[in-house]
Amino acid sequence: MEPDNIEINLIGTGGGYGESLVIHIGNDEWIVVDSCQNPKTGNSIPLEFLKQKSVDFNKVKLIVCTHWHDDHIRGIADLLDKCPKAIFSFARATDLKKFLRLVSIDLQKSQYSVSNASTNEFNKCLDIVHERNDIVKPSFTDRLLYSTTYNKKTIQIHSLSPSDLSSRLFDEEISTLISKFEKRNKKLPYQSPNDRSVVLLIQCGSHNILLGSDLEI
Amino acid sequence: MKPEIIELSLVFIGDFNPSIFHPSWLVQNDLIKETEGDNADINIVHKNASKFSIDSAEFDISRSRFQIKTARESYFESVRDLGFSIFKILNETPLRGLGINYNYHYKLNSKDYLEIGKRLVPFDNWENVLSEPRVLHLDMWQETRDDEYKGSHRVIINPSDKLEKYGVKININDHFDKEDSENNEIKLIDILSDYWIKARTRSDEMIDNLWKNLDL
Amino acid sequence: MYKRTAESREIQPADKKGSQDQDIDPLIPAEADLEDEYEIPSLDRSLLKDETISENSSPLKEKEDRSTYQHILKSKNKVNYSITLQKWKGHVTEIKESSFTAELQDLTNPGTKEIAKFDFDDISPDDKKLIGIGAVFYWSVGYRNENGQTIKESIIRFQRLVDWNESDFNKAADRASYLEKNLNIQ
Repeated sequence: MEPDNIEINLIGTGGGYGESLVIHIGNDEWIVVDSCQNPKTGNSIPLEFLKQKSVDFNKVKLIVCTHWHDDHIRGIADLLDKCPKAIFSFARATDLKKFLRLVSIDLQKSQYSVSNASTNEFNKCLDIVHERNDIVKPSFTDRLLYSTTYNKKTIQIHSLSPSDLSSRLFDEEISTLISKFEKRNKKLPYQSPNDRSVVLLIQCGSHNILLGSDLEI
Repeated sequence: MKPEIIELSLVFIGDFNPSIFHPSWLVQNDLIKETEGDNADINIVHKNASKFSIDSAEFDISRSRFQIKTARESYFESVRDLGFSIFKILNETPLRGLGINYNYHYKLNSKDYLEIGKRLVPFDNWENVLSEPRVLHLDMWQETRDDEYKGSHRVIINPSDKLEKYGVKININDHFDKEDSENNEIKLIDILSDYWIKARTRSDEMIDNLWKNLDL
Repeated sequence: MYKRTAESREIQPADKKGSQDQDIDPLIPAEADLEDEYEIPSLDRSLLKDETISENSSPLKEKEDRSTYQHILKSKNKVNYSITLQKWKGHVTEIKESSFTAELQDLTNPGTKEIAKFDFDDISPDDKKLIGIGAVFYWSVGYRNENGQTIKESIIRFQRLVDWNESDFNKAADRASYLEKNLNIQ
């Protein structure tokens, strides 16, 4: 990999199995947006890709989970586990306590086999970052997630969403889900998380790259 | 080699009161359908033993052993849910062990039926001991598990009780002992849900490998 | 392998110590000890502690002579079993007047999720009350052998699980509080 090159790799299995972006941002540094699972091996596909490229996992600097659809999150915990220097980022929830309660409830539901696979994956990520005492950077409008400079060039990665309104609506959804489904053995029916997707802007000198994720507006 | 029948049997070891296990108790706790309870075939419900069957499962309970079993693959998850729910409701029940058993029943031809015994056990060693040795029952055991749980693995091979002549049954027993810590009975129940998918995958793998090794 | 024609296992007499044992229910044969049903003579049982192997409760167990064809045929016909060709786990996402939509997870060949619509008529009467958003069910397609007859089957069965107890709820709440205090969120 040429150190100056920015390379965007869109990988995935198609057919609803999922997709992920593995991006070289220069200076042998990488970021990964979302994850999907190889249906044959069960492994994280971006992880397999990075291994194939013989990437030093310490050079993966940021892993963003744009939203919680199964096809964007499977395998992300394994990926995060292998990348010890990666900052983990996901869509912000305004009421963190309530949000953590929701994901913990869904984790508890896994014992009754009624949890969501995506929340299980997300819970594993929380366990990993807690164990490592890593920084977690929730994404929201106009937030700088990562910045690096080399050869007098600055590369910055910003999140452009979710908006305050989306975050607030998600808070309301969480309240409803907790009150209706907390103790009952039913699967938590999340509304479509697309409107809370994390949109990313990569700025590299005069170049700008907009990654829209599944955001619907 | 494809099995004709696959059975699931969950066995709990502990201290039980068989008399409380009655189809009506299951209906009362909304664990089975009302019609299933009404149509249950009750053999006995007594302080020392309870034995009855419903559409989805057979129950066989003594003071120290609780078994729930089905030969209907469509109900495997329901049986797991039943076992799990019963001991969540009766969370004071002291449990000492859990066995997740898969029984695979195979229909062989007459030649393979004889041959399998020879492949499992070297008949040469029985020369001048028995003139026509046959394997009636084989029980293979591994004292520790290959994973982080406390327990053992066991494989038992018998003639099949469900298939007419030349049927062979292979029982794969995944045994878990209680951990030596607080709330050990809750942990056994947790294993039932955490290990569920792996139990079947592992059993299928073991069976496939056994047939491969037997090369019949 | 060889099938025994006669059972030769030992049956232990019931413990008759003390007058309270005189009240034993007549349904239980006096000579049968229900707790220890068979012995494996060659194995040191102390190694096995509490065995959790599956035991037979089929009607064949009580029969002594298994060698006649007629007996075997009669016994086989009593054996009911089913084999699944494909199994899904679904949860209800939308309910309409006489049908519901569900998201399905293929348990046989795991892959991408599927969406399917089911009529209420596909559901057993006793299960209808369980239909609700988020409700989980199992759907399996395969063959059943009932009294010697092979029947194609497609079964939808809603999951019946005990409600959470206080301990489950507290575990979730404790975890959430712990994470809130200990996650390094910037």
